[in-house]
Amino acid sequence: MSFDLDFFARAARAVLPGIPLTLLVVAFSLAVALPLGFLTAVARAKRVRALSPALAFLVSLMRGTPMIVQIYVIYNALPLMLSAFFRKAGIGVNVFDVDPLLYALFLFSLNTTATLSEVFRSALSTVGAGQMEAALTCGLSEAQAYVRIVVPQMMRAASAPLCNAAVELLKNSSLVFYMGVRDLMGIIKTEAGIGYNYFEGYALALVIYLILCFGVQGIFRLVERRAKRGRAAQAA
Amino acid sequence: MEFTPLYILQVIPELLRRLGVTLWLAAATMLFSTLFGALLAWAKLGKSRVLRALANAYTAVLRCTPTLILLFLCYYGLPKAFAPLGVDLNRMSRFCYSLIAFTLLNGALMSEVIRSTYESIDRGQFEAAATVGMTPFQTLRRIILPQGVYIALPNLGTTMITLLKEASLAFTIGLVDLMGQAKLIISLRYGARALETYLALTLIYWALTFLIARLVSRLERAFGAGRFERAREAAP
Repeated sequence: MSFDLDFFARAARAVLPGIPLTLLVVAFSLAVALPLGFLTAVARAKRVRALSPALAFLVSLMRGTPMIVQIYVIYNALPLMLSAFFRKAGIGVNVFDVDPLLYALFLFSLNTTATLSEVFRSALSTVGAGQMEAALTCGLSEAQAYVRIVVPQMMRAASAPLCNAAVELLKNSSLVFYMGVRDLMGIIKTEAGIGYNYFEGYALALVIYLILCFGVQGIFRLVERRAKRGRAAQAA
Repeated sequence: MEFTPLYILQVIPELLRRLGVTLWLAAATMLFSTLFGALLAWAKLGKSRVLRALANAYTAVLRCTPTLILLFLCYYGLPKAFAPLGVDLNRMSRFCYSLIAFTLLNGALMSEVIRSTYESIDRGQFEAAATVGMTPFQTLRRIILPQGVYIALPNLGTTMITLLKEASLAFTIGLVDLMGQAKLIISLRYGARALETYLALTLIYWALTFLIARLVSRLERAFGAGRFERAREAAP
């Protein structure tokens, strides 16, 4: 079996500029989805009329269909909707000039919000209802009760599934290429296509994703360890 | 470009013609990855340090491997790897390549499902079975499996849904399953009505994941029925 090492080294250099793009998709989606996912979980737990069923519908749709199908739906639907909106609003922007990265950020944020809302929903259920009642009795406002009492306890149950969700997001981000975003998969595909070095190319992609993925898991482990130290200090 | 909602319903029968491929791939993958996962779980629970480390490393790596990359690596790498052995895999069907890739991927997930299930069963069960003179195989078949299936069902359901969704990526190596059929239909119409076709696909996948979830909760009730009666009798 021949493995073209020269190509591997050359492609590794070419692919480096694509990595920040992947990290951007992951970081942006998490930044949007952490607060929104939590709010979604709270809204569903409180059974807000009309809003809760609508959110449940969206979450089920996002969790029940393949990411690649969602990508194609958004990729075809958003320009259609945007162009109608631009025409109505009188904005002279051609939809085809909109960077596909924006579509990717939109979809991945939405999808991650759905995933995290499920994570937070089950994590919320591990905190007894008495905690909230006790906090309210002590004169805390509901927002205070969530921030100071419920969320810190919830995080113990949420941290492992959160890490899984982040890893899932990172892996799925390899699909933004199908929305026309030239991320590292896109760069590798063009590089590999020149000399039919597809195997070496995707081996390189695997190495990069493994490094990124172990990095994400490492960060979560670090945060978890610090949180545990905090808990131990409180208990002492 | 205009949106014709009626076409969504019209295209569904055309898409469903390839439903069989999607279901076969998922079912065959489930079968083989359960066997492979059982092997990995056996290695993880076994006494051999080397096997345990290998199985754990395999799981850690595969958990971080994007499906897309694994598919490509199998598709481009396997013929390369087997060529020196005089085996020509270039004529192997895309279905087989997909099956191999998804078995490798899902096997890692299944090994964790099986391992955690095995560990959740009380040690006393094994000892009790040995005391009444059961062979290890009898213990597995009559005592461990019936309990294990019930414990594993929720995880099994999640794994199956994940697999079904991930399997939609097989179109990238040219398999014509549901997703591949959608791409084919769209290209036959020179890209027209892409959005409607993908929306139809969304509905189909959504229905499939919904059905799996329903089936699993049905089974859970069926397997749990005897369990709760016994628990009630045991309660004072």
